[in-house]
Amino acid sequence: MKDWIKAGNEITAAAPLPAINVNFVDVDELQKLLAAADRQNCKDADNKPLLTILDFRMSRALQKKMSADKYQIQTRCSTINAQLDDFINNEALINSLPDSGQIIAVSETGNRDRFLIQFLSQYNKTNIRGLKYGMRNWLKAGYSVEEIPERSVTN
Amino acid sequence: MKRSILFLITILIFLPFPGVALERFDIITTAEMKQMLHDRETGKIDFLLVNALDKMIYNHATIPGSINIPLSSYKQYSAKLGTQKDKLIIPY
Repeated sequence: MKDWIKAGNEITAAAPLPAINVNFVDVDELQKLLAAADRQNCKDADNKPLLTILDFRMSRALQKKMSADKYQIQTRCSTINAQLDDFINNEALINSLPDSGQIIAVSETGNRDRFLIQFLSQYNKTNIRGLKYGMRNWLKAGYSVEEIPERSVTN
Repeated sequence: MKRSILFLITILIFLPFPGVALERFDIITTAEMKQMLHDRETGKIDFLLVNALDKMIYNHATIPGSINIPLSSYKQYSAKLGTQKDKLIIPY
């Protein structure tokens, strides 16, 4: 698709997402952010969340998970699991994202993060950044993970 | 020197090519795709062009003439593939 667009070919856009600046954190920065937030039990002085992980990896929807898909980022902060398309016409899910603190979107490789962030910007959710190179890079860096609880399968 | 050359030739013979893993699939270039779409429009060939990305991404931008079967929920959409088993399917 990237090559198709790059070559200047025609595309169809039924619902184009707004062109906004999408920001990313790298794994080292996220590790520091999580460590700092975990020390405060992930709440600020007003008891609002300091940091939330939004894990939207496709593998979260699968019952049977392979190797790396069995794990999520270990944190005391809350992790929201949803598929990218779950957000379409789903204000309840969108509204479940906290307006306070930071939200870090986690996908497999970071490639799909910008679409989620662009989509959510339409609902004034602007406190979201992507994780550069996604979960793959988090695992590669050797930072803490925990096994995904069986019941947290999305879809 | 002769031994080095012989060693190099041996390595080159037995070294798998990078594309070996992709041998199971035919890869179509952007230019070929454009031509194939044109040929489909004029009725010369028939195939299904499948955008396997999420619906949100498909709605944002897709190649004209594609259908959407998101990988994350392929079971839900697999009927779109039809029943003709030998029809060419080009996913991206």
